[in-house]
Amino acid sequence: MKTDRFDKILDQARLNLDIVILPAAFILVVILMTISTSFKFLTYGNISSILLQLPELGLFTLAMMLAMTVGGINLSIISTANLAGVIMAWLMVNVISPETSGASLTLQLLFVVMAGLLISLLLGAVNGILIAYVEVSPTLATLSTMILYEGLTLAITKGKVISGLPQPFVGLGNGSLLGIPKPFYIFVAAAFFIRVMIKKTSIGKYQIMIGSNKKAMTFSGINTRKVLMQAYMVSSLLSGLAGVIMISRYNSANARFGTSYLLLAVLTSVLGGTDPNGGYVRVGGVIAALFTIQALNSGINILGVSSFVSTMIWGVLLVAIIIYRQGVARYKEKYLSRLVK
Amino acid sequence: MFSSFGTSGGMGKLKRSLQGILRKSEFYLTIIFMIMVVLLSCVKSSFGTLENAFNILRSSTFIGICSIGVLVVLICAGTDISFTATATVAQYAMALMIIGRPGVPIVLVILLPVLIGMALGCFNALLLNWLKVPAIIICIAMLNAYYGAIQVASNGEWLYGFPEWFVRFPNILLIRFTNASGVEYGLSTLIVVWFAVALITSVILKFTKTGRNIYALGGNAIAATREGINVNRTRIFAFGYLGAIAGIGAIAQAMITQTSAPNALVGQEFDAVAAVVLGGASIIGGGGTVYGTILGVIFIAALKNGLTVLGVPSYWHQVFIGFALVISICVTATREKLAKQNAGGVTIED
Repeated sequence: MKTDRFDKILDQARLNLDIVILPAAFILVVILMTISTSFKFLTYGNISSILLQLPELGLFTLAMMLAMTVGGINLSIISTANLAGVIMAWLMVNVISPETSGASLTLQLLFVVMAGLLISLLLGAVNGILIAYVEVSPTLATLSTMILYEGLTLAITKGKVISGLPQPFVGLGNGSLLGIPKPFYIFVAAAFFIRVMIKKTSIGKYQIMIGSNKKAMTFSGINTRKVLMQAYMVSSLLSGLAGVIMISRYNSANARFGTSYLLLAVLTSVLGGTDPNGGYVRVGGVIAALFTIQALNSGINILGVSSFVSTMIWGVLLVAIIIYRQGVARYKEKYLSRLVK
Repeated sequence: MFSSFGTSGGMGKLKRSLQGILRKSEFYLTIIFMIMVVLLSCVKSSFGTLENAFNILRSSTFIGICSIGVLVVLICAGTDISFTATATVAQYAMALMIIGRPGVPIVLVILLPVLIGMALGCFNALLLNWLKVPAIIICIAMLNAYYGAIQVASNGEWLYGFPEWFVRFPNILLIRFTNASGVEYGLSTLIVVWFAVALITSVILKFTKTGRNIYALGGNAIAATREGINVNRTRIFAFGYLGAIAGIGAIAQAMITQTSAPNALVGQEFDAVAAVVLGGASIIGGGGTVYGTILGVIFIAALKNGLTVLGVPSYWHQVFIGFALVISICVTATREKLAKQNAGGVTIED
């Protein structure tokens, strides 16, 4: 009986080897980085800076993951975050009067953030309409909107930086609660929400189905357009949330913040088990991948490697991860067919 | 309806070819472009001059040349944005060679960047054929890998000091004019190189088997496979071709600026893709013309130039380009959908 159960767990582990390996990869990265930085990596300051940076990449990764799940890609995540961020910053600087304080300021800030998130939903709806109704390929649709959104951001900021945001708002991005940076809680909540959406609701099931076989879904009478719209809108909403955290952390907004996150978001999403062709996603895997990549990123920064070296590393790593993923998929197929026999 | 029965053979032919022209998106872009040029020239007389036209053409040589390669890839396989990094690698290698040994044969100076570009492009295609993921993901990865590598290898240093022929060649004017203040302007050799590349590509796409295969593959990959087209080989050709063209673009760019800077080209990839898409290339693959692409490049360059002439701040330019792009993809996609419905043909899916 006991061995039976153990066998079952072992089977499960073998079937999800790629996900099971990720925590091990994370620990390996931590150990390697700790040794190579002579224990600078494991200081409280560094760990809390990892937790501070993780939410931004995390939200972008979830946004990318959702687009990939439905068989697409969202290249406009960064420009969506920046456009929403710049509009929020503009409202905070120009509409909220500097004399406001206390509860009324909090309320007004809340309205501004709501407005920002609403705008990001709207930007996502534009992506969704282009992809679901006009039937433009996701790459070209989001590439075009990326250029448009970045253009609008540049026009609003006149190519400059908007800075000097109200103090309570800046505290959201830089403060901490129980020793953990506040943005981390936002990320945990968002990740939980996405996991529930994908695992427990029909929305999530449809998203996975549309990624694996759109035609079959259309024939089974499901409104594929609505499903695509939802996916791209939630993807944009997550980007907008990342925008909130970014402007609050930097105390400023700009058209060109966070451009390096695009590659990292694709990388982390694929490492976490999202199939770039759609139809397969593991939120847990993506979160494990996120910790691994963020630890690696932070370690590389501490080592003082130039940003170009890390650019190269990420590029090569993305290809390596895709190769690894394909290997795992082949292994899984073989193992499954043996199980069936 | 009845009138069409009554037309004689000659008239019918004329009508059909007229309808053919009216169905092409390039036709509408040409008209919009002309309206824009006329309007801008009316508002500002300095816009509609021949000198300005040649300046616009010359300054968009790099994007112009590259976008023709981007078109070839977009027709058959998807979006490649790694060519700016490829061009940077090719250009830097060429600059190192030419500055290190000024006496090196001209043939080698041209051949080296083209071959490097071709090799890197083919490598992208090999990865794509092997891994079977969307092209854009491989291209994002390789853009960063090549760019990071060249920055690290070059230490970010700019290269100057090209030999005399390299300085002189781009300033040769094949058609020469002199403006009021005595400055010469005209048809630069680089513009001729751009149009030569365009012409060759157009011939390849229209009249060779490989060219037809490229269209077939983009139109319907499964049907193409069943017809016996070697999908992998066609893709390698397209990406290799883009790489080679990026090499040529890199030479032209080095000739214009007389420097080779590792950070000068990367970042312009979206301009080229935007031009190709604006030029009416198919959104789902399988369509697009060299003429449309050239028009797309000139359209964007003229729009930017016109806005500058009108005194619109440069941070507004991208808004206009973005809107033009979004409208353009909507129009192209809708037309494609309608054409598919009208054709009513059988679609082959796996």
